[in-house]
Amino acid sequence: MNAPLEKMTSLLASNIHYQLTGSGRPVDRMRLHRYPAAVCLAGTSVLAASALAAHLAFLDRRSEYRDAARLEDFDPLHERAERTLRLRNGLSIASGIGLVLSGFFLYQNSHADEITACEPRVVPYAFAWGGRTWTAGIHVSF
Amino acid sequence: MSPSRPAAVCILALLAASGCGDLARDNALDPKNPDSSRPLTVLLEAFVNTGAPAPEYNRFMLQALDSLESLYADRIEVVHYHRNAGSVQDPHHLIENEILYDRYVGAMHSGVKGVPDVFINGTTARVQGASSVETAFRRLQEALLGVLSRSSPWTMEAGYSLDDGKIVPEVVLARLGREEATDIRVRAVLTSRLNQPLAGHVVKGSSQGAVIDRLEAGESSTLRLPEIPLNGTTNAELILCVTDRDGLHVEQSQSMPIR
Repeated sequence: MNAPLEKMTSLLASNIHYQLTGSGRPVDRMRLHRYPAAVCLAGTSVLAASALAAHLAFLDRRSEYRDAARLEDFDPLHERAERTLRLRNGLSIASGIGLVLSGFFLYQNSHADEITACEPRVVPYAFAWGGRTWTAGIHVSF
Repeated sequence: MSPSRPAAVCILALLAASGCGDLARDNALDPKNPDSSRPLTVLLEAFVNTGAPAPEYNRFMLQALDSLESLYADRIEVVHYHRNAGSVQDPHHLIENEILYDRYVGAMHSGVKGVPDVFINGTTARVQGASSVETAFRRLQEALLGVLSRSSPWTMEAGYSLDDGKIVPEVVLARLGREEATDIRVRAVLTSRLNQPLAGHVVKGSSQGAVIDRLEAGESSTLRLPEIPLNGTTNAELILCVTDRDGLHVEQSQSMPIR
């Protein structure tokens, strides 16, 4: 069974159960899909904090390399600083991607398709073109 | 959007990020920095005679060298090669001192021999004779200042090991800058600080050292030089210098005490 049909069934079952037994609560709308925006934002925050820590570590290690004076120290200190630089760059790019994904998820969630179990809201005064005739009047839903 | 798509994008971006981020070799002392160089430590080799009755000119020159050394302590290395001059025998005369002196004098346009005679960085500059301490100091300083402002494309870290009354000099030599070097010699001189005035750097032995045919820019080489007999030398110091293959032009030098 595909996901939208499953959601519809669930919504319908809830409402039938409410109508027949009076227990539970009526459900008038259900989103078809929700992206994990909160999880993504949390992950992005962790990545950004890690990128900042890696950047501070990189600054320290670069200073160590720049302060070196012995021949045997240059290569290991440079390699260590370069590894930290790559880690920082990787984490920074991952944070950027996480931020974009979070924004995308939030946007998607705010515009997600919904299944509704009630008549759509109408304005009290409405008119419509019926092909050959215009209809106008007052429509109130209870 | 399938959830696997953003994950794939993340992984690809991380892989790309792990491949970038080269850190510049910007330590000025790092041989792999193309702009690297080190201050030149100048070698002053004084050929003198302090035997009795030696002319006082030698004393003038040695005093001037002492003054110069106190002024430029971290930029110069001084060694005293004692040699017999005429009928005046010097107790610290060594045959290898005489051989080196002959080679230096032979390479100069003015091939006049006589003590005191100071060679600065091999045959780069020469100060011969000393009418007074002040005059000798002024002449030495003038010659030195012409060399001292230069930087060197060499750096070395000296070491040694002792083996059955002999000293084995060891050195890690690195070529700085952008240009390769060919036909390089590293030689070693053993000096002693004697308990006499003006005898702080008396040469007690030397080694013609080792030759490197080629060293690329940024490359290092570890050398073990031929041994030098200690012969009971005390208060000793080892001086290592980088020269051309003929040993006539010194490009860097360094000293270290023997303990």
